Amino acid sequence: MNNPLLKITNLELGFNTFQGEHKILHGLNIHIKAGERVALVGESGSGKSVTARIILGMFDELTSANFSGDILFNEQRLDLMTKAQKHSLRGKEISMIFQDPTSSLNPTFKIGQQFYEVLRTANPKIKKQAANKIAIDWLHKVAITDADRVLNSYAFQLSGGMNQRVMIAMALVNKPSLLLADEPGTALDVTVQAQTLNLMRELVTQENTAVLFISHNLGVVREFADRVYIIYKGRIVEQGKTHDIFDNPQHPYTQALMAAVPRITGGGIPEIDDTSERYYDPIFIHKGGEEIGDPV
Amino acid sequence: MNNTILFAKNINKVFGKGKDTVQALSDVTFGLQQGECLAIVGESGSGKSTIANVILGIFPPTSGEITFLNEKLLPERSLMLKKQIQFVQQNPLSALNPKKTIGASIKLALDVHNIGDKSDRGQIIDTLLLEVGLPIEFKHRLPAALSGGQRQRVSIARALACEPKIIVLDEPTSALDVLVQARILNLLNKLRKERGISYIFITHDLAVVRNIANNVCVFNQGKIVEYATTDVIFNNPKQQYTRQLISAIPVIDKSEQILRNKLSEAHNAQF
Amino acid sequence: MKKIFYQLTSNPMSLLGVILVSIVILSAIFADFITPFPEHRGAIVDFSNFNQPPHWPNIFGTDLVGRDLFTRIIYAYRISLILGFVVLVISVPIGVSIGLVAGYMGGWTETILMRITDVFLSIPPLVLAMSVMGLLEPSLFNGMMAVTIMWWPWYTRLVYNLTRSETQEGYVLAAEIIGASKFHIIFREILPNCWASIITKMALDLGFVILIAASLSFLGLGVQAPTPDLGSMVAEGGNYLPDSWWLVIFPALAILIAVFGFNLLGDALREILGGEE
Repeated sequence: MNNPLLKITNLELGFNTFQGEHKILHGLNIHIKAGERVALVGESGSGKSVTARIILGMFDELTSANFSGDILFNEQRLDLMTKAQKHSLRGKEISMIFQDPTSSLNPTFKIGQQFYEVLRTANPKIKKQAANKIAIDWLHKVAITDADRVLNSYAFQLSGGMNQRVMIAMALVNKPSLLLADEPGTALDVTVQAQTLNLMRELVTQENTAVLFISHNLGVVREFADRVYIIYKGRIVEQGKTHDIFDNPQHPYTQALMAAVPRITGGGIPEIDDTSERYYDPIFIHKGGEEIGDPV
Repeated sequence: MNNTILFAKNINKVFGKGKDTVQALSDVTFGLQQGECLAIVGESGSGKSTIANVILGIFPPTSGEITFLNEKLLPERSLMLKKQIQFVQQNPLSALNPKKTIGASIKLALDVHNIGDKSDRGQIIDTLLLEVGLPIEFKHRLPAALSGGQRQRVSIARALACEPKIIVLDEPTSALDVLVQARILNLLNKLRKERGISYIFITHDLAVVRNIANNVCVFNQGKIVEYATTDVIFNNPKQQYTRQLISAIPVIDKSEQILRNKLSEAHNAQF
Repeated sequence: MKKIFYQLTSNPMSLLGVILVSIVILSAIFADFITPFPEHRGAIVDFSNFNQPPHWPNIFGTDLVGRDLFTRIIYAYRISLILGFVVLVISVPIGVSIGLVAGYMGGWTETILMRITDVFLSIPPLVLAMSVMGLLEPSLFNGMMAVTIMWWPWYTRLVYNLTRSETQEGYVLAAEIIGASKFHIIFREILPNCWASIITKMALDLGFVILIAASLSFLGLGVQAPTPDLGSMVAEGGNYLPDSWWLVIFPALAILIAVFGFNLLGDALREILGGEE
């Protein structure tokens, strides 16, 4: 338990453009323990989605991208792995849920077929019937009662909320140790989003899956995560336990974010700077948020 | 109701023909006062965008009528009426022509409605840009050189250029980051007070509504479920659906949590 | 502009395209100065020096009546380019306007305009041009007319599809709500957003027009003697293969360079202009 499941150290990323290098990440340090739900919160362009993509190795073939830093997953250096090694992790050890469930599912295959493919990545010898049984079982877990109909449907025949549940089931069916959730359900209605997030939280707790939850929505993060990293322009500015961050934000940027969120209790919206020198202040780490064994 | 500027009466809208029809709006009635911000709230498919399009005259209602200052709005609107009801869209990226400078986009409104002398129009554009909080130099820039929030300010300036009585705002901040959203909402509030314009604010975000609207229409499946002042909607909603919507909002502080719990208890008590 | 130039020259294939096209265009413009025997573009006979393989000063050799082949190829470029430009200058505005109007107006206007376009598109281009040329007298002017008639519908198709998707954009709706005229929306709002694709296609098409013109004259239906033309040079020279190989190889290479160059340039432009936000 002492070593984190995922440990990202001093991650930097830049892109070569015709105006020189454009830096996206300025040395991120992130760790996630087994079974922990960690949120990475930031605005558009902060580098939060890019971080998830790096973990999945999606920029590896891009010659214009420059990396540095270590990514340690389960004691293995993810950043040094070959494409094949990484590929064998994906879908099995690490899985992912994206923003728009309907477009993340393949429109030309039935849900059942896609489930089968996902199960085959973990167990290439699995029979169709066995796969079907597991799929039905998992669809029940995400509160889909008419699993047979869903497995025989295409993604476009189902509602957004239904597709999101299917995505959650597919992401968890191989019992990954890490789930990357990039703005899950942002494309859905608020009520549907609330339901699916509750479901997802229950399931990952049950299965002891660690989650890196990427979002811009502070309210959603507060309800989902154990621990929070706030990211601003490629720098982590504050991290700590969720209630510490929300009840007692310390970094000027976090404070501005919190103040800017409109409240359902009213009170108007204060005048807040959308940019400020103080947002670049050094990181604030709440007690209990630091790395185990790390001197702080 | 003596200050009513726009009144929608028994609006119905049916899409499609024969068997495949969808009733997008049924029997929608509401009024808009001078200087009021009326929020139209609902989830996807609730009809909130349809009512916006009907008010803007993009398509006519199947039945029912809209009156603007006691004048009935017909399917083919005069230039004078078009000028009075303007629009700010959700996506600031697509709302501005990528090949035209900011200045040219705003100038279109002045040219079409013949506002100000030709020689003064540059001056008017400068004033509008300053009013929405943008530097004057921006008029020479293309939209690609602006951030999302800045583009949304340009869209607002363009709507103001027509000197309208009403602006329909379709999710004007939902594509923006929360810090930028706060600034745009404040700008909208300021403009409404200074110019006495009325807003029809269409959104799915109830937390935003709480802080900007005077009255709220909650839409569900093409019908108005609840129509009341913002205070009543949030503190003492009459309808179960409204409570359900508010209970689903993710909140960030304790007093919000208390309010939400209170409403969802009331919601559960109904069963 | 600077950015486009940077992108054009940073990729080796696009750079090659720029160089080839520049060679073709510059040599056509300055033909009078760079060719050794400008008078050979006309009807001149020099039997003392006929059908000679490449040698100094006739670096590409001479043709059957003793004219310098290099000179004639460069002047043929000039004719081809003029023909290409004229064809595009006439067919692009027609095709683009029809596409814009059909795409924006929709309804009956769209149906009628696009069905007419489809009729033209359904006839293979070369067949259409050949039948027109067969009816009329073969000449440079008629060649241009024939190629123009078959060329505009392609621009209509292209611009129609672009317009259909641009019409969905918020800025078109914004202009409608402000109350701008249809004319303004079509030509001042939508058209500027189509230029990138139109210019790309024009660059590609210059190569194809040259090729089509060469094909027509190869069949004896295009430019008539003594005006130099790449297609007729290849056709005539073909009778004397393999002994007088230069009569075919050099004009054919000239066609290849022009078509290849314009294609590379078109592809590069498509990538650069299409990749913009």
